[in-house]
Amino acid sequence: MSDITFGQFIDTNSFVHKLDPRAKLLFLIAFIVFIFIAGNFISLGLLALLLITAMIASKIPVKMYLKNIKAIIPVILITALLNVFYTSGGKVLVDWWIFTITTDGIFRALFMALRIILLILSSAVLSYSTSPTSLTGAIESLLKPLKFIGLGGAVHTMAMTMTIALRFIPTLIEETQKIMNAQKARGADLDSGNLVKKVKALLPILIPLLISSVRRAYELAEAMECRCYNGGKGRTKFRVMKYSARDAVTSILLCVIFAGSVLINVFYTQILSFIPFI
Amino acid sequence: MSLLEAKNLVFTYGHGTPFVTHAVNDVSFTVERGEIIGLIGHTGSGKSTIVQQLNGLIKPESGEILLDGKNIHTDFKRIKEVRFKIGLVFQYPEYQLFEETVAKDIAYGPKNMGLSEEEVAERVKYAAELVGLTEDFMEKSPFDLSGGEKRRVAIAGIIAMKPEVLVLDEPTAGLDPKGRDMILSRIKEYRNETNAAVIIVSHSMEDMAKTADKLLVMNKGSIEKFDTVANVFADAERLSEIGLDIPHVTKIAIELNKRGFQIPKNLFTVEALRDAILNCRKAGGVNV
Ligand SMILES: Nc1ncnc2c1ncn2[C@@H]1O[C@H](COP(=O)(O)OP(=O)(O)O)[C@@H](O)[C@H]1O
Ligand SMILES: [Mg+2]
Repeated sequence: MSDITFGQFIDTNSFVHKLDPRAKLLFLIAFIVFIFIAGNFISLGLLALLLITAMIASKIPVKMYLKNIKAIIPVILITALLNVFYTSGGKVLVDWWIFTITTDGIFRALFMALRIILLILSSAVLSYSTSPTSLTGAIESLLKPLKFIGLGGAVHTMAMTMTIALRFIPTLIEETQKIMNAQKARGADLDSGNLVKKVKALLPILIPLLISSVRRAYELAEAMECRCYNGGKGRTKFRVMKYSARDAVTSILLCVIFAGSVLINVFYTQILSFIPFI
Repeated sequence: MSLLEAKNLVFTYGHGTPFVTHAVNDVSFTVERGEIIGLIGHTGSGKSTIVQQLNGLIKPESGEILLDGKNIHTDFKRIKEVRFKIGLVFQYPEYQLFEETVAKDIAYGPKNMGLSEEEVAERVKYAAELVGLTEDFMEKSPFDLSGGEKRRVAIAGIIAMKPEVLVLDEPTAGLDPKGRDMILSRIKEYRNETNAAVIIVSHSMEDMAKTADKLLVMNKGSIEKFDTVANVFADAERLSEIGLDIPHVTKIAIELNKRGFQIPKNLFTVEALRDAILNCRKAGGVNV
């Protein structure tokens, strides 16, 4: 339970942390798009290099990143296996019963695995280096143009809902743990028995959790009203986001690398002819 | 052999993450039958971490817990049995209530013990009576009760398991003085009736001076003192230093002592202070 790292902000005050959250969010979206555009190992490798640089610059222990990969090993394995068996072409390595494994299949599987790993790690860089509050602030700011089609209020409400939801995920996890322990102290058996028994065993946890969530929601709503919260209109921000020189430099650098990865894609065959080994 | 023995407990939160807290550092103590032990310390001194180790909810990193001389972690299957013998009431236990009626909620623990229906009913009745819940509460929904009443239902839920060691984490937190005295006197009653050992976590010196036989004082994850109430209060100044609020009576005794009156510093009840002042007056002829 405590292994869940989602939304876990680790403040190391690094270069990556100081970037404008809006810029970071756009970088991530662009990065993910280019992961999928990249069609070969060289352009994907270039993107991987970029990501590794960002990970090092974030000053967050490698262990924390590895935890994310560990959690999705099953997904990676299943994707890789499907690709191994469903890709034809290249030299046939194994041909047994209905299974055929080819060199193309192996390459494709490795390629997909690398893609997923890049996807997860890049999201981890963002969530480790950006507090949930600034992240939702960034989303709100990026969605601002929606007010021209009359959705300004909805954008603020959505952003506020997300901020609150993110804020309460760790609280909820902690609360669940506490209630589980309290019921275990009364001899609750949460692991054994058949499905019906297991679901029934969950009630002593779910009911208190639900009740305390509702109570918490009321209390929070009241506390917000007491501080005269009445939606987004006229609200100013305590932390004003600023697109600074740091962000500009990073943006230019990223554009160059993304362009590079596209160029590699386009001129892949020509590039290959320069490298005699492959 | 002691009923319960904690040996060199060590516990750290957040291993392998940047957020490491050494919550408990080499803590050892013993608990005998019939004793009421006040586990006292500043917020964050590791009290809750210790009590959750006692019934095996969290496993100490090193060190061991012996119940009747046997390590509670040697047999994985035994751990449930251990939890029935070492009944732990969590902080704010009213948040764990879930059943439709008070009676059913109190019965949850005893039912998990696999007792017969009559035995369960009898224990529910016993526990409810002990904490002062009358018959007309039993069929109410626990969610319709007041805070103090909910708290008593939750405590009854553990008492109904008739634990040999009753452990309560801040049982009086957030209650008014009347509710506080009520809960503490009921806990004492349970000890008197069953000769069980009781461990009460608290940060109120005032309450513990009135209730406990021995005090286990925690400071930053380590034991500062483990002794009888009178001996612990002998060094009341040190208690203030580590952030504990000493009783008003003790403060007055210390001040009088400082001003040269023959009054011991380790007094913690109004009666004891009164007698000391009267004695002092008789002996020295001081006009107090
Ligand atoms: N689940 C947890 N995760 C991380 N740290 C914790 C957790 N629970 C407690 N701690 C930390 O361990 C220390 C001891 O906490 P605790 O045992 O709750 O103290 P007390 O009950 O005396 O207030 C504190 O510094 C607290 O912040
Ligand atoms: Mg505590």
